[in-house]
Amino acid sequence: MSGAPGHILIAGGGVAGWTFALAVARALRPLGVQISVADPGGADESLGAHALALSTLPGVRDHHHALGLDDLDAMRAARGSFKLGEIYTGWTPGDAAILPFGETGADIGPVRFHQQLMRLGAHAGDLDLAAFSLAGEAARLGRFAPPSPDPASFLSTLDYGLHLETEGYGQYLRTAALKAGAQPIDGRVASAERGGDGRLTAAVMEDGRKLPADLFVDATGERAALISGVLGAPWESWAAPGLDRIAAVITEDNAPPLALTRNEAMSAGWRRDAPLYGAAAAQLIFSSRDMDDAAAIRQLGGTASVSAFNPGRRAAPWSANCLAIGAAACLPDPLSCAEQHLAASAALRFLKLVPHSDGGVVEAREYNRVFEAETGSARDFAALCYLTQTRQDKTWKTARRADPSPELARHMALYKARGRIPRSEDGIYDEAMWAAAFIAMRVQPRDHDPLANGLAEAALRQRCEQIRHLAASTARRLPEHAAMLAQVHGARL
Amino acid sequence: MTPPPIRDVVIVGGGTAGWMAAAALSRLIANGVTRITLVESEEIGIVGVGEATIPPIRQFNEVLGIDEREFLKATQGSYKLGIEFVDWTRPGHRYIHPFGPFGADMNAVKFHQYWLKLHRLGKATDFAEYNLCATAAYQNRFGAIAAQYRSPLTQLHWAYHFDASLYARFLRRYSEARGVTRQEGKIIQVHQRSEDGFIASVELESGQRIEGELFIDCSGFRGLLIEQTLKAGYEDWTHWLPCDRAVAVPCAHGEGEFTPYTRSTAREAGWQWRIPLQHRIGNGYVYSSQFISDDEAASTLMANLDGEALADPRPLRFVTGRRKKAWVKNCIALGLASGFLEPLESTSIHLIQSGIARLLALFPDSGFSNVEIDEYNRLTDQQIAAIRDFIILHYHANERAGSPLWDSCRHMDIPETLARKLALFRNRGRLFRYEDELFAESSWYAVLLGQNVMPQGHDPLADAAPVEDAAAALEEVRAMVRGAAASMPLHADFINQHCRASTAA
Ligand SMILES: Cc1cc2nc3c(=O)[nH]c(=O)nc-3n(C[C@H](O)[C@H](O)[C@H](O)COP(=O)(O)OP(=O)(O)OC[C@H]3O[C@@H](n4cnc5c(N)ncnc54)[C@H](O)[C@@H]3O)c2cc1C
Repeated sequence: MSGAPGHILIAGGGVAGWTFALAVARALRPLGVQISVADPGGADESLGAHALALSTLPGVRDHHHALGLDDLDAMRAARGSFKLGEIYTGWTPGDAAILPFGETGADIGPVRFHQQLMRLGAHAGDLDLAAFSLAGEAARLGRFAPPSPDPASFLSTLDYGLHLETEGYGQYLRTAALKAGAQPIDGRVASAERGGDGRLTAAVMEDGRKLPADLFVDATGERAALISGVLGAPWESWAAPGLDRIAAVITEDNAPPLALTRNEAMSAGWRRDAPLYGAAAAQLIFSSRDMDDAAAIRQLGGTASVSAFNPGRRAAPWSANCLAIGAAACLPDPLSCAEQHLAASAALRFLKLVPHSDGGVVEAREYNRVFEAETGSARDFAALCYLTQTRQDKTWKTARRADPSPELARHMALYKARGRIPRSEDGIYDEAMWAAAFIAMRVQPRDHDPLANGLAEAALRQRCEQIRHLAASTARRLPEHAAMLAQVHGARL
Repeated sequence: MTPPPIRDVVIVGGGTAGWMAAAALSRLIANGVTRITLVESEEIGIVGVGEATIPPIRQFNEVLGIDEREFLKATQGSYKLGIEFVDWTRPGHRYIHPFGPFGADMNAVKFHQYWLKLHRLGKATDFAEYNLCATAAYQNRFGAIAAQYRSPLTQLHWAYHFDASLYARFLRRYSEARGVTRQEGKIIQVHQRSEDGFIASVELESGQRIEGELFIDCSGFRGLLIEQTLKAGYEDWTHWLPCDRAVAVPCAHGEGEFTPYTRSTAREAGWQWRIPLQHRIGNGYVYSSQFISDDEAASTLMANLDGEALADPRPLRFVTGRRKKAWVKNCIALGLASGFLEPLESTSIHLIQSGIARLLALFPDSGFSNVEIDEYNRLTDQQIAAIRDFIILHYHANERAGSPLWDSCRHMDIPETLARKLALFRNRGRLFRYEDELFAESSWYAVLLGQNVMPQGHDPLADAAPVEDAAAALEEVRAMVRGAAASMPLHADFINQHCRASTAA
């Protein structure tokens, strides 16, 4: 007997539910585990009502690989486009700043690239990091190519994530999960019954049907029908003070898409634009004190929907025999680009911790520990923007009136002193990405790494110039992003 | 304005720690501004028994541009593929903690999970047979693998054994060639700045004062600057790591093989090490003074040598634990001055190395900001705690019933972080590395399984593959590993051919 749970019931479909279903079906169907997904159909609620499109980190490709999926198929199903990074405007005075994916410049021994630039007198106020990055330059020029597998090639320094329409992506995952042996059940899970030991025994559907199972996965989004509705696990809110509403919309758009997600701060909130193939997804996060819903809808276009914005996470998302995923477990701020990452990492982490049908306490504790570290980094990555922006509007002055988490406080203190980034293994972002985020927010360290002073200035300057030149000249030779998309989707816009 | 860069670095102590720091800094901060001075006292001497290392030392040599074979020639060195633990689990038992992985993950399931399953079914052999270093070690082999056996499964991982005094001498030559000034003399007084207590200078017996802005305390157990002057405090871990003394003696090679591994043999009141070098074997009995007298320990050691003793047994005393703060004001402690865990897993030299790497990553200027000091101390604490847990595991998971030291270790309260790890492993053989942990998962598997911590079950995902398929895959790994090991030259031949020290010291 393998002792894996005999029946896993996933409450809710959507990207979170179907990603999970796909991962467990691939691994556990061969063991005879039954996997069913109670999917009410309709709009994807698993990642939160406002997540109409996903703007991912480069890790999405590893996730696809681990799940036996194909990036291009996913793009075709979800009006996908390539994403080379993020661009921020209006958060601080000065030009827009690009946060590029992939490698930017190159370290010299222990001296990080941004430290080299600062040693040469670069100032965070106008430092254009993207100019030293192939992804950054390519994005600026509207060009794209997949990275080269040859580490000796400069083309290998590029990295990319994806822009995906949530609904189409969910359908794609659903098809793959069904093929892997997951069983769909029509209807919506409303609640669950509990046994004397506090464990769930059966999910209760809206129409009264009861579905017994051994393990229950709550993918019901912000509704959190099981983890909150039945088990009462508390929510830890991360909202920046005052930013309490979010509007979202997808509109048809045939402009050639930018290979960047755009974050634009405005007087009463900020707007995020994720370009899709033939469409554009937009979100507006704003303060209800300074803007009403109608104004927000006018800004985004007629069909936008508005809801409360309450990013945060669940304490102990795996409690008893119930595991919450997607927005039922954590609703990251869009700035952290973490929705897809968290959905996939939840499923893959669970597979490393499949419990006995009767156990799970030890596994749950380990799962929750890594969940905390991961979601903590997502929280901090977004909070960094709110805390370091320097806008003078009322909304924004209020938004920065929060305390950073102890980890972020440590991050910020180290960076502000000498531009250093602490290492962390369980977090979602690497060192280079943190450095790029600080630079995008124009945070100026008091000094740079003293070891950078050991590098001969003239030679260093020449080297950095060479990298800049290489990035620009290589990017110019790449195909157009629009042409690459036409190839993927089989038609030009 | 930003404070000016550091002009004078003073390293106090010329043991392994002092010269490693001098070598690395002279290579990596060569900025034409910073001067490095190292003070050591021949009269006081060095501990010099740190002779076994772990694989990251190769990166240290690489960064310094040191050629492996030159280095082994200069230090009477040999290769190390792991540590054999004899009688640790229970008398008569032995296992090896080799470097490198066991098999390879299959279908995203860890290799050892298949092993757990098949072993229970009688369809898998000893765990060590799936690891190249272990297999080569038991055949006393080291060197290149024949082409037909080269694969991702058969990548060799290694570290070194060397003579610590010769290593210090080697690094001294290296450092002096790169501008480090060595100052012989005994420090009799340390002067602090009146305004903030920073160390201003150290004064030698001769009356000479050596001033500096950054002091690296490598003065050994005494912690001349970090403790005697700056009172950093010491956290005592004897309740977890009970050994507090050692007696060491070199001996001649006997009839035995020239093993490419360290051996650690459990004894009544501690354990004995055996480290084979080219010109001799290093031996020592690490023990708890609570359970055995010094004389008894020394005679046990002398009765258990491969060959004739080459010196008088040398006693050493220590308290396992760590300096509460490794960096205080303008002083950073490295090596024994920063604490001492236990030589069991040869981690001290590595801790010196990673302390140096951390210092380089957080190198201060003359302003010394607390942000960096705090971060250095936080990372140091994290690393030491993880290593501590791994070493405690060796003592705790024993079945040597009836001997007082071992009974008390088996029943002691262990740190919460280790307790969690053990619970997770006992359940289904699962393991998660905490941030920045030094030892890889495979090291934990080796010691956990070696010391008979058997999980109740295995990962259910291992059941997805039919038993015959999994058994065939395991057998393939074993055959590959065995073939690769057998194709390697003998360790003794390899040393003779490539790294023989010119004079027997
Ligand atoms: C029993 C035992 C076994 C070990 N085995 C291993 C092993 O296998 N692997 C491993 O990695 N590590 C091992 N270690 C640890 C290893 O020996 C040390 O990490 C290593 O020797 C570094 O020592 P050190 O340089 O910090 O101190 P020391 O070797 O003690 O050097 C101290 C230096 O400070 C100088 N000094 C002190 N006071 C003064 C003063 N007043 N004036 C001037 N100079 C002064 C001394 O002259 C000397 O040069 C072992 C340790 C012990 C005790």
